[in-house]
Amino acid sequence: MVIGDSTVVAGSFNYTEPANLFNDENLLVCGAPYETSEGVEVNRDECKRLAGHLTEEIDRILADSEPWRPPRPPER
Amino acid sequence: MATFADRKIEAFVGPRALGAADDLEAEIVRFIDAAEDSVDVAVQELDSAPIAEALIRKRLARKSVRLVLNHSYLMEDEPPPPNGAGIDRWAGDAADHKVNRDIFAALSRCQVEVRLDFNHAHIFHQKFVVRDLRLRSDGRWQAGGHPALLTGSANFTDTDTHTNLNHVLVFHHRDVAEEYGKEFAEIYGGEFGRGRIGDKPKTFDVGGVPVKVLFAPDHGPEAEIIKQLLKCPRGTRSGSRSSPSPGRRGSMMPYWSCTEPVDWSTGWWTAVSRVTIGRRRSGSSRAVSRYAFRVAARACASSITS
Repeated sequence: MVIGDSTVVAGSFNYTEPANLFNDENLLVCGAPYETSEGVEVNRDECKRLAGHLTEEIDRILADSEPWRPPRPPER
Repeated sequence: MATFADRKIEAFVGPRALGAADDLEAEIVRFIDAAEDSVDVAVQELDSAPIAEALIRKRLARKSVRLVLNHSYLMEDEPPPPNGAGIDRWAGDAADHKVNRDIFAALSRCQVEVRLDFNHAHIFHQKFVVRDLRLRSDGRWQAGGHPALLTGSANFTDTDTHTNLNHVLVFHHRDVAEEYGKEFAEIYGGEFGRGRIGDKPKTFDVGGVPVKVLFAPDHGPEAEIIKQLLKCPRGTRSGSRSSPSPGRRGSMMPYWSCTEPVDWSTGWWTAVSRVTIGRRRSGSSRAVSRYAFRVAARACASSITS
C-alpha cells in the first residue's frame, strides 16, 4: 500500500481480521509525510522516490486490470 | 532492481510474467547466496527448488542454515490409500504438497535445521530471511559478512514468485535486521501466534527513510495502518498517484481526507472522530465510513495508544 506520496506499507500482512489477531505476520511502514517522524530526520525526497517507485507498480497493475463492475440485476 | 536511501533499501516487484520488473525468486536466491556466516528463514511455504537449492548450497559450504515453515504445507488434504509395505506405503507419493515434502526431506538430509510452526489454529504467514545476523541463546549477537533482511509479500514458492503479484524488500541495515533477528529467535524457540506483548514497535532511520517494524499479532498492525492512513495529507489517495481519473483508478481505493492536523494526544477515538473518513468520490461513502469507524474503534482497544 502506498499512502499519499511518501509512505509505503509493506510486508506479509493481509488486511484481514485473522492477520491482525492470530497469524504470525510482519509489517513495515517506510517513509513519512513530515520533516521529522518518530525521532527520525526525514529525507522527504528519498521517501517520495521509494513511494513513487511502488506507486508506479500499483498504477501499472491497475492499468492492466479489468475494472470490477457490479453484476446486473436479474431481468424481470 | 531499484535502490533507495543510499542503497540501504532495495525494492523488487514481480512477477515478470505479468509485466513487473523483477524475478523475485532470483532475488531471494541472490540474497541467500551472498550470506557469509548464517541464514535464518521464516516462511509460510517453500516449494521453490532454486531457493531450496540455495539453502542447501549454503549448508554444504558449512554455513549455519535454519528454517521455520508452516506445517500444513507438508500435509496431504486426505490421508493417502495404502501403497506398498511398511513405512514406504506412506512415502513416495505424488499427491498434494509432494514438492514441499521432497524439499523438506532434502533440507533435512543436508542438515539444514528445519522446524515446523506450532501456531496450529492459525497461519504462520511470515516471509523473511535474516542473513549474517543471529541472536544467540546467551543473548549476544553473532554477526558476520553483511547483515541484512529480506521480506515482503511473497512466499518462497513457484506460484508466488512467478504467477502472483508480490513485492520483496531488502534492508541493508543492522537495526532493522536485528528486529527480525529477535523475532526469528522467538519463533525458533517455539513462540507462535498470540503470545506475550513484546516491546513497542520501533522506528529506525534508514538513510533518511523512517522504517517502522511491526509484528502481528503482538503489535496489532491494523491500528498502525489506520494511523498512517489518517496522516495522509488532504486530497491524496492511498494506493495511487493523485491522478485525475477517479472513476477507474480510484474505484477500489477508499478516499481519505483530513480537514485539520490530527491531534493524537487526545486519544484514538477523539482524534479519529474529527477526521472525515471514507468520503469517496463515487459509490457508497457510508459503507466505507462505517467500516473505518469499526476498525478505528477496535484500534482504540488495542495496544497502540500513540
